[in-house]
Amino acid sequence: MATSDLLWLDSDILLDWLGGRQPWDAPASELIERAISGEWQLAFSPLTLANIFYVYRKQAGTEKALECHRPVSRITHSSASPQTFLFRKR
Amino acid sequence: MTRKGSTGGKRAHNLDIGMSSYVALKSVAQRRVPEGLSQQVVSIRAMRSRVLLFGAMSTMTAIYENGVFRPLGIVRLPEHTRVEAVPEIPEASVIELEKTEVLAEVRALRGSLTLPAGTSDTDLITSARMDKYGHL
Repeated sequence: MATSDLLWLDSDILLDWLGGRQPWDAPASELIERAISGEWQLAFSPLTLANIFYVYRKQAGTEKALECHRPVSRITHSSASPQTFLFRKR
Repeated sequence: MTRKGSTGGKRAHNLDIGMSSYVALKSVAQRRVPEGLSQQVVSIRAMRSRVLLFGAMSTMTAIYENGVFRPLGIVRLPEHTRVEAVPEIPEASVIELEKTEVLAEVRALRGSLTLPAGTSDTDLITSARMDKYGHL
């Protein structure tokens, strides 16, 4: 895999996508869709994942936050390095 | 299984065989043909038509979509024949199905969160963390 295929995401992009914030929702969604199709590999820190969970929990409640966390946790890959892979390329 | 004698110049052998698949019928029939006759015409006559009917397509592959099973091959059944299906999902399909479901769940997360307008992400995260852990 070329290094350029790996994109590092910060919290703001994930929040744009989760919150559907305009006008950043569309490009954020494109990133996610490209990762789903296996074209790119996305990575973010475990701290970002925790922060997203806290924000989701505060805004939507614990139950909804867990619903959000469940599918994400099934497709993430944690490694010894301080980064978590989202949609790890197969 | 009984074998009837040869008939006329064609010297065909008629084999009456009970319930089994058509493929099995054919292989069994070929095995039972006496040596030296293997090159001759061998006809298989099923005692019951359903032996041939169902034996020829004992297993079929289908895709379930929009509430209907769609067969992937030729179906040799009369119209409106009622059949019973026991779904047997290949392991690879299960994995693919789970993957599709998870990705659908991920896609559904888009826009699922209502965020307060005019609040920076830093404030949003700080507020959420303080809500969890309290003030330092």
